[in-house]
Amino acid sequence: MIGPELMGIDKLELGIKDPDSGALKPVLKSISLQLGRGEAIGLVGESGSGKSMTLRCVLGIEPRNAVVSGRIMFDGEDLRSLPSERMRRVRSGRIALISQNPHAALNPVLPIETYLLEGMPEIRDARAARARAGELLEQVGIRSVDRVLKAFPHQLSGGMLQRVVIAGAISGKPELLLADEPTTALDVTTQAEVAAILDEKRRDLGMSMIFVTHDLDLAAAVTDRLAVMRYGEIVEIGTPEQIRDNPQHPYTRMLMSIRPTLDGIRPAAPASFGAAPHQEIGSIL
Amino acid sequence: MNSNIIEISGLNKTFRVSGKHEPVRALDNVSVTVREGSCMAVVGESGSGKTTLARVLVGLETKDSGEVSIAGTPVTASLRRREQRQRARAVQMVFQDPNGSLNRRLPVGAAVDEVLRAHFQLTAAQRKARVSELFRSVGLTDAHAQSLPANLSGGQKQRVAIARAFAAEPKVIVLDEAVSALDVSVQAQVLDLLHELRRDKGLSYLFITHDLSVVRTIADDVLVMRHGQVLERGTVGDVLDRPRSPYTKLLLECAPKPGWKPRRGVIDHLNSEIAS
Repeated sequence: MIGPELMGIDKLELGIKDPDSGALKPVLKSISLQLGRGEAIGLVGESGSGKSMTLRCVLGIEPRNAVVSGRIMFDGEDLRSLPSERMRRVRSGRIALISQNPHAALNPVLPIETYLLEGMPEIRDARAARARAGELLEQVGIRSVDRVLKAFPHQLSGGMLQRVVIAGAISGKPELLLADEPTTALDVTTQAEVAAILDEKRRDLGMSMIFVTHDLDLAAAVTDRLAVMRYGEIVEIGTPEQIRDNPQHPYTRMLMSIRPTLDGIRPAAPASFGAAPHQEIGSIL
Repeated sequence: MNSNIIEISGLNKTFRVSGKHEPVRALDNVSVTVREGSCMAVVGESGSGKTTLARVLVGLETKDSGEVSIAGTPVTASLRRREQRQRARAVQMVFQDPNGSLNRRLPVGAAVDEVLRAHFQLTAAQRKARVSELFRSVGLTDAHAQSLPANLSGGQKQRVAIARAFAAEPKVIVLDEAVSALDVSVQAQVLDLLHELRRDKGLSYLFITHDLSVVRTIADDVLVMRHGQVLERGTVGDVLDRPRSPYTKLLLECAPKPGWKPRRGVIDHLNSEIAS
């Protein structure tokens, strides 16, 4: 861990209750993870490994029929036992979420300006708030600020919208950013740009981040440590260099070796490995 | 020996977009030839025209102008029913999302059986045997054939889509981002399967993808497209190792790889270079 602890996930377990039989299907099995202030951790793994579900537990938005145990200590308080009103305040000010689909965060019938202004109720003066919104857009590399502020979500490209969502996420200077496959739906050139912006802003503002992705190389580029997940467990944690050069767990070694690479070196795929045997629970939103 | 299975020259396709005066040029004077038995990758980002190219080839879109021929037979808009069926047999397509191409109420074995009934004169027993054989060839069993799509994983459904494409005994399979939505371990299996089937059956692939690493794994030749135009073409080694187009260089630069860091402003820099 880098820096003093901001969040400590301690033996987090989650099962989904079958409505008919009452049986519990395990989705997360004893997840423990420490995140330092200003540290970025990448959660990497395949579908159904529990990456998104871990984020949902941090935000307290797990599925209705989920049974959760364990603690999530955030700055000395257990988020799992916080009254809902206090939890809401944590979610609105101290933790921000960037999901794969920016449309999920944006109201389709309101202009971008309204979205950004809603996130800064503390600025009373309308002109000052608008100036701040423009400044945030400039920070995420948007040049035609006035046009974007007036635009509706459907008028902007996916890359542009994801920058707007990042601007909204950093506007309240949260301590923790949760990024769930934030660049997966973007073209590769746009992904590079958006990942660079996210990385830079996070470092500038000293925020911690949990970055969920299936792409090991992408995660390695924007985080300090990687946690490799499989079947609801963290099988290995290490720096990107340790994971790349000296992976310990056989699953990590398999993941590293079978992905197609630009230099084209890849052994044959094993017959069965990887994706979870049970049905996928779905992404965070 | 190396005859061309697909010949496309000067292909144009425009779409009218509501709210815009000028039609969008989805394909702008595109020419491609695919050698028999080879795999041609078509690479590009959203809006490059790569999917439109595939759709024109399989007859899901009609072209505005240009020549398209498959195995020496020209494809025209006014094909008669019998010719349409022949074309459908010669070219099969596998889409990114298998859910979109499988009937959720139909066991997947029956979905493959439909193709056999459409194209071949076989008895029920012969078809049943053929369905089992096709499922085996993609690493699935008869039990899978009895399942509804909802009871299969994404990788299994994509194998069904591939088995169904093979059922028509085509000359060419067009794969439109067919492995993009799969987990890496499943993707590796499907890529291996495609490689094996091509080697054993002498098929040709038109492989549409945005992923240059996948291109390296499966393709012989590659075509780089942007805004409906072909920017670069060549063997995989030439294009990926010695790219000439600044845009190809940009794509290579932006692909995450070990030791890579995303940099801001790369797009703007190369955009200006491409424009000039």
